Amino acid sequence: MKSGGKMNPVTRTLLTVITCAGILVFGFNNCGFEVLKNPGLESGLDQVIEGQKLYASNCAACHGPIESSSKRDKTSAQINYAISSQPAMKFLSVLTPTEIGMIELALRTPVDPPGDSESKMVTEAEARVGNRYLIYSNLKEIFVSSALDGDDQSILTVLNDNVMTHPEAFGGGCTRYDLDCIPDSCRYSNRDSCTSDRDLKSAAAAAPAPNVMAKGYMVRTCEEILAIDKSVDTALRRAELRTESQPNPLPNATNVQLLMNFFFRNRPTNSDSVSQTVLLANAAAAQGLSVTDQWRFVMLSVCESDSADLL
Amino acid sequence: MGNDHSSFSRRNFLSLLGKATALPLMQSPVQILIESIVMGATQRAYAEAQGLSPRRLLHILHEGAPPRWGYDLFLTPYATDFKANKTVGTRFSADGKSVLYSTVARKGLNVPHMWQFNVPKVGGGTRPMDDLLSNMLCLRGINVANPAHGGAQAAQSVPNGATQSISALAGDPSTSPIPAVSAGLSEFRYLSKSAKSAVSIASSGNMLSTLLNPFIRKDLGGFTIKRESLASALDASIKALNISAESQHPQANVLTSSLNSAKELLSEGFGNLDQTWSDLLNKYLLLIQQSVSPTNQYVGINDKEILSDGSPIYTMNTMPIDAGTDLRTMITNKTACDLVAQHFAMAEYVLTNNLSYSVSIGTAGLTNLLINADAKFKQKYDEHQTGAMASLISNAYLNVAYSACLLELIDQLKAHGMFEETVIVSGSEFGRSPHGDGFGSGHGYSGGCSVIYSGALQASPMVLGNIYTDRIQDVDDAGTWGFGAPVAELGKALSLGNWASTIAGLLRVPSPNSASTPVIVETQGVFKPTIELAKQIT
Repeated sequence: MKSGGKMNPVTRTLLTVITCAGILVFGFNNCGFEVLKNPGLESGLDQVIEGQKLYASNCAACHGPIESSSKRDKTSAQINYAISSQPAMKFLSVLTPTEIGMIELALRTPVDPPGDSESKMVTEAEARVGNRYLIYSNLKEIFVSSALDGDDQSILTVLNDNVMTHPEAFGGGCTRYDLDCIPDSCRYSNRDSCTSDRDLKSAAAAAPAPNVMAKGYMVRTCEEILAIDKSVDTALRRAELRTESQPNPLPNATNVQLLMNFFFRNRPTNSDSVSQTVLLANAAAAQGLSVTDQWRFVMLSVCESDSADLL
Repeated sequence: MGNDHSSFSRRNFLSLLGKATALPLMQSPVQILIESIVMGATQRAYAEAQGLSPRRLLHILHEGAPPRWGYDLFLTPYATDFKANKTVGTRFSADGKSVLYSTVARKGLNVPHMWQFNVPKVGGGTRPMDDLLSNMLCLRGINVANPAHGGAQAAQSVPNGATQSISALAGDPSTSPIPAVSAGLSEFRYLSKSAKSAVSIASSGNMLSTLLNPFIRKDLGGFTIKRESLASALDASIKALNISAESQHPQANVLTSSLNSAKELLSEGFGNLDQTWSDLLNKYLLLIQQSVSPTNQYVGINDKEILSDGSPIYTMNTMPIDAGTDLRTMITNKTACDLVAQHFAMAEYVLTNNLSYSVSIGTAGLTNLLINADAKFKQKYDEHQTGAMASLISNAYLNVAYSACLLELIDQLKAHGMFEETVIVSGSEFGRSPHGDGFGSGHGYSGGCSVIYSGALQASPMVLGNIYTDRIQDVDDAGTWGFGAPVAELGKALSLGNWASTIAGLLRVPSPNSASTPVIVETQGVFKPTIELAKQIT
């Protein structure tokens, strides 16, 4: 079952197909991750595959194949910045935000080493909830400024202590047809070369996404980040709510909706959730709390909510 | 942690609150009132009927499948039909050159030799090992039908055809904040019918801290004060956001329930758990240390020299023990089994604090055995290449240690009024098919054994499941060793389906293998067998 040797390709394919069927039926893979289905597009798999194609035709020549790209985990914002600032990349300004988003998704989706015939199947499994790499990079993108000053470092420490170092809660090294889970040190290398002790394996394997430990850490993460004033400022700027022309945005319905769009990557939200969140801001205002505090607790609510996990 | 009742009350309140705030969207005030009354009554009735709510589960799996005929695979419980095999023994022969299958009569059963001895207890002194028999059901001769460790383990996590994992039988219906916890099991699965998920923690360091660290909230000064002053508005906002998420992704309800459980745990205010962990761990470590002390006297095991002649039956885990060595010297005052202590400490805390109703743990063999000058030799459960003589002495000590830990855990469950509401399932992937020359054993997948302990098992001890007196599974494993034989009422040997249905019945939940008959059913508060008592088939 777990010999550590290379699995027979036929067995592996069979397992993959079975697992795939399981995902389609139950929406969960063998490692307990929920499969992400980004609304508005056919499926997470389609996006990743499309992103891989776009990367191959537009980026790979300079940055190497996607599985070993020097630009792994780069965000849309970073890609856009590079396109706008690097003369050699100007030609890519034809890419649409949707296409950039798919490249970003492909860049943060682990893939098998070249030559593995199942790489397409693997990518689907990696579009999931609860992966610590995804949560880390998402929260980093929201709350950490490019200045990387002392406050930013403190926020990164919170993310490291509460998310990155807890594979037992968030997973992060799990492939779906390898019924074991592999430690993250093997994540981008040939998994057949990885032999870890059982504790390490079980720690990595213990990655059912919607679990109570992960949620506990998420609550702590959100609280500890938002207790740092800089995080509120950075998120407002990143969401393009705080600009030169609008230095002090208020948490009204429009702005709260924009913040949610940014946090949830344009995942739709209903009007009741916006109005309840505005009521939260109003409650903070009624207690005499500052506008920064009002945003702080709006962000806390958004950060702790389910959609923050459904990356 | 609060007690059972406060835990239920808080959850019910949260649940009521959730419904009450969601209902105005769709119902009239009168409907809301009626709904609240009905729901409140239901919740109260449920709380009052806690005695009939699903039981807790502790599933202990001896990962690696040690030979258990010397301990809890009762080969001749009600009769003495037995055909010897040189590997199958419970004590050494009078000349110290072979092993014998020898039993003693205890509580209506013939039980292996070791059961006549006392085991250490917390606080000093000893107690009879056979206290365990008071609430015990043994299922033997189970056709596991899978010869591989991984496959057989997985099949005992999710039996073939099961709609739920064994762990989920207890975890799914529970209102405890953590659906299930597992440790040290490489094939653990949590197959839920209600989209819950388990947490698995590593068996190193402070396991309680690992499990509860996410819920130890930092005091963030002014932030914390402000957050608390806005608590209700925050909750309302998060609730609305989650309802919105669920409208897009129905599965987001799992995240919502996880968040509610996490907040419940966060509100508990767990402090530093170092002392708690240290006390619990040391308690079990000490029990094990006392159990495997070289000064303990077990007649038939260590009352006389057992000298190796260097032949294969004196091999320990591929290592032939030097000729002339007294086997008793393998046990030293450093011999230990820390993994069992760690897992029992974690299980006791999680169960008695109502953190979870489903705990699954692995065990392992003794460490720090002295073999040919190697003082850190490890016993290996998978005894393909361990001879009968070496196997008997290490397993005899190990089983004393395991029994002592089990009895202490049961004491704790009793002290919390939980033993009647807990089902402890103890087993391994499969039995072992013993080689006729006394050297090693194979995977006895035709003869699995599971021993269940629960305060709910009043008519105890009971052994069910037939075995053949002499049946060869592989090549050279003749004799009586546990090979499953047909049971009259079933027309076949016990299966993991029967096993799963039996556990489900004890837990008071529907069977995940509904086509398979449970081997006991509850009648007027007493579990009685649906099949004949265990017997040998020739």
